[in-house]
Amino acid sequence: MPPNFRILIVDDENIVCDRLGAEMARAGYQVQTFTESSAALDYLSENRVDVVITDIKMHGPSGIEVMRFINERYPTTKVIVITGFATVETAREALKGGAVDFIPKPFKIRDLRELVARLLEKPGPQPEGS
Amino acid sequence: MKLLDLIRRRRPGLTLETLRKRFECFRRLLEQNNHVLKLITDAGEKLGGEYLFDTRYLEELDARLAEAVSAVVRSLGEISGNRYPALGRAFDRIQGAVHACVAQQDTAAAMPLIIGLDEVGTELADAAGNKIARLGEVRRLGIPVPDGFVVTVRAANLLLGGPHFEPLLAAIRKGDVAAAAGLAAALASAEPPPPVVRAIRQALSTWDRSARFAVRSSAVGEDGEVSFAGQYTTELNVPPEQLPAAWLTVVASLFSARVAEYRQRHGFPPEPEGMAVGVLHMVPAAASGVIYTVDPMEPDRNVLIVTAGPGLGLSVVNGRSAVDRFDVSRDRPYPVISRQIADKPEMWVAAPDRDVRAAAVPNEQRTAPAVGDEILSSLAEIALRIERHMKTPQDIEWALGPDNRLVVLQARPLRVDPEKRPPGGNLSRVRERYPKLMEGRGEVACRGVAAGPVFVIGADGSAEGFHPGDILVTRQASPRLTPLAAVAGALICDFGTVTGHLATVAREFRIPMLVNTLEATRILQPGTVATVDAEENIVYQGKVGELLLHELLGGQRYQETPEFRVLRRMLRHIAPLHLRDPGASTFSPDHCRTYHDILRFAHERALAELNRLEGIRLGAAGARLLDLEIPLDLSVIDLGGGTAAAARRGMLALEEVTSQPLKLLLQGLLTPGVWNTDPAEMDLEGFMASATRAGPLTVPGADSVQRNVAIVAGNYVNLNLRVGYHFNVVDASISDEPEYNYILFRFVGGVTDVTRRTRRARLLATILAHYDFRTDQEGDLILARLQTVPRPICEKHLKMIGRLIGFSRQLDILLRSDEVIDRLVANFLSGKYDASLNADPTKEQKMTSTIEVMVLDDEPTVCERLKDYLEQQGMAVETFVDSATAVQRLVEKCFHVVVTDLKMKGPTGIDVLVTVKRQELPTQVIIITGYRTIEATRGAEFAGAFGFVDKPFRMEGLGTMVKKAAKKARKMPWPA
Repeated sequence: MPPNFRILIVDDENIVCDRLGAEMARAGYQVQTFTESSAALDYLSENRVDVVITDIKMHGPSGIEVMRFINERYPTTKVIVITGFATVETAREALKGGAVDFIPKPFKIRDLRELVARLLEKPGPQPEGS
Repeated sequence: MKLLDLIRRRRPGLTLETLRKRFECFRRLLEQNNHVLKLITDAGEKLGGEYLFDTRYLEELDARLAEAVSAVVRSLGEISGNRYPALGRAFDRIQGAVHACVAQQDTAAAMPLIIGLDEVGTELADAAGNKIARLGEVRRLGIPVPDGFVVTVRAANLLLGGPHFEPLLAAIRKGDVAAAAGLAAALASAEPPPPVVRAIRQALSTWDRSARFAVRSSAVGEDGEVSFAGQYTTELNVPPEQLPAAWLTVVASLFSARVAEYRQRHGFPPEPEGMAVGVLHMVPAAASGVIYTVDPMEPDRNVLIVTAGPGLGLSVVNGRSAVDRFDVSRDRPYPVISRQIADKPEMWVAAPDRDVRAAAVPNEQRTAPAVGDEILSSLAEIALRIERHMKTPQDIEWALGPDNRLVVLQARPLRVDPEKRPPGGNLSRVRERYPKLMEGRGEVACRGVAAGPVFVIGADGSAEGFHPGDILVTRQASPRLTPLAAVAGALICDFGTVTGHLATVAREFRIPMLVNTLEATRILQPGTVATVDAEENIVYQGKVGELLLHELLGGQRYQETPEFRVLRRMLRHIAPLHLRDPGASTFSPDHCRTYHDILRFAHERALAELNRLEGIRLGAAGARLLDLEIPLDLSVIDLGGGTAAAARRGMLALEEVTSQPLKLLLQGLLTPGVWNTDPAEMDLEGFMASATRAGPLTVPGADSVQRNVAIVAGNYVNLNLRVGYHFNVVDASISDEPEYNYILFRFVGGVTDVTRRTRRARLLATILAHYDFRTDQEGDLILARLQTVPRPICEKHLKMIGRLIGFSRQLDILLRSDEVIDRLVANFLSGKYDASLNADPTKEQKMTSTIEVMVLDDEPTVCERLKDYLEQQGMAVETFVDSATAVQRLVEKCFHVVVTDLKMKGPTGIDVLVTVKRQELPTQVIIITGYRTIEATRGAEFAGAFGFVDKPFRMEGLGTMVKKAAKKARKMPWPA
């Protein structure tokens, strides 16, 4: 039973938020999903989360911008980037921008869930209030 | 392509350079072909629920497929000198259809006015409406539903788009409720559009005029979260000529005052979405009713609720008459838990001309149950299969035909009181409570949860005792299991891949599936109840009720998301293969319906172009005959790097072959035992068949290319090899880059009769599937592909193909029965290649002086006495008291004579006789009987018994008859 880690998902495709969100909630995480990156940033300016899963190319602020914001504000929060434009370039940009990992779409949900679990096992972010 | 034209005109002097170009072009086509197949496989895999994808993926898939398939079409053009311009048009057509799915363009505009029920599934809900789309889906499961067709949304749009109605529609859109009534009235006096009338008439052309139809609404969006149940009109018992009018009435009901009010009350937009209309053959029901797969008020009660009454279903649906109610257990064998039988004075029956009328229920039936327990049990099984597929509780309307056959009329999601749903969220505590049999082994090929008894497929492939809903556990993910897989509760395989054929079937039928578990057949004990959680890749012991209920009521139904529906719709234009038989007249570009068809066509025709070798002159192409110890007559043409540079003239020695793939093939062929130089023994039928088929074996001209040619490069081979009556083509490439590796094997046989040819094809397909080849089989032809595999596997499998070519050479004559196939497969896989000797060790004893006799009688004393006597006469005797075992033994071993009792438990003496004849055995049958009747005698004589002996009989007389029979048997063609 994972502790109450908080995960934020931002992707302008509804299906990604819906399915990934449900899957993560099922695994016992606290999940917030956003289909608009600006709304996600608003939320993040008020709240800290343990992991952010973000798409790169979105209407409004891009995933890279979301990543920058988090790096400045919450250096311990881990960012995972997912994208349908899996090229070496995007990957390099994402990792340079501070993402801990990079997953090209379409991906196996299980792989992402395992990645999140692994990240949270490592010392670093602790659930709020612990 | 001028050079290629030259080849076709058989001009002399074809150079090595020309040949090289042609092969390069072909190889390019193969690479493109493999690339497309991989894209198709990957896309199919996405339907299993393991992957998360979005619209962008679908767009990208559309673009990549279009590019890759058009490259294949272009390459065929290049190879064939643009011989198939129609293929380009086929591509445009299919590409348009695929693209329309992704772009979600107004699909209504492109859809036909009428679609047959066979073509419909939930992916076509936009055209066929939800109700009929789901009914088509049920039909795909193999569950009986009425025959019929659907008049699509486009037909209704054609009507409503007319100038009279458009203004009224506009008013409705603005929320003018009164306009709906005006439209309904206008429609009541309207005429159906002529194209719709014509389309309906055409659809009816295959129906008898006396047929009657139920005309049912199938609105888009109907039966959603808020059900529109019963809001629209249904017309019953409609004669064919009145169908267009009935269609109009049903479409008009979309705008009735009742519906308008209902829409407003439930907050639906004023203008309804499209209306399709199902036209279904009327089922003259003896009884009918409704089944709920769970109790909507108490979902955890583990029962199905059935209501039933005599006659047509109208009464049950409308709740006008009294009906019986049964609670039936959800566990097999689905016993009735409780019953409540009503007095049923009235029922509905079809009126003579049209419509239905009330009728009195005969007195003796009024208080009797409308259906028996056996029917209830079958009904429960069908309902649960639909539920497993739809992944939600179902509300199913059913009818019982006069022939006691159950028919499903409708299936829709059952609304379960949200307050009664189990709490969602964390199931980990539940998961911890149950013992796990397996966890994290292998991969998930299709997600989902199911529970049931474990059924392990036997080593002999036997599936006796399997029930739909069982957890099917098997070593190989063999395509032969498809019929079972489609109805299983879940599938677990020791081996197999998520991209294999069976996994595709599982996804099509939404059966949870685990593959590559390595040890499931060892771990899971037959008969134990298990719960397969293919969401988390865990198998629990026992039935995990909470998990099942959670999946059913609260689980994710990813299959219902728009992206999945679009992908499924796309794949219908991409993956199915309709073009199978290259000899058929339908094997043409015009008949290509999917990308897969295009690939198949291009591939087949390219191969044909490639093998158009008649015009090639060996000398000019630099061919050299290979010096082998077996009579292969193989000429080798080196495109570069395929033979040792020093060797230029004369026979080519084996050591001089440097083409890696050719070397491997030859190694396989030369494996000890594989090339049996003795021709396989033929029976008469085989001999006659081959005698009449010797024609095509023409003697090649002095300098023209023989049929046996290998065109090679260092890492490439294209081998055309005629061995006996079999024509093999191998095209293969090996390198260190797995993605460039492939083996293509094409086999066409001949000689023997259709049954044996089919058996041979099945045998080869089974062996090839074992080695993970993707195999298409059509009659005589086998086309097998293996691609994107690492070098060592490619090498191993090429050697195997070499062995298989040699092995198959001897097969035709041996394939006497279906049972032989499995044994030959086992032989090959265990390294016994000499088919004629090892095919069936028990048949090795051929004509010896000893007479082999089987004695079969269910009285052991008779067996013993006969055995004693016949052995004294120097015969070898086997006795059997169980006729089933004896029949099996007959197939394994050839006896000269069978002496059998006539009446026995299990197969009778006549059955034994029939087996002997059907298996084409030389064995002679003597029937002993104490009940000799004229009928039995006549039947047996007709079937070819050697003789009869009446009980009681004298031993000497029987002995003489056995000897005579053996003499006759020895004159018969005897199996190898």
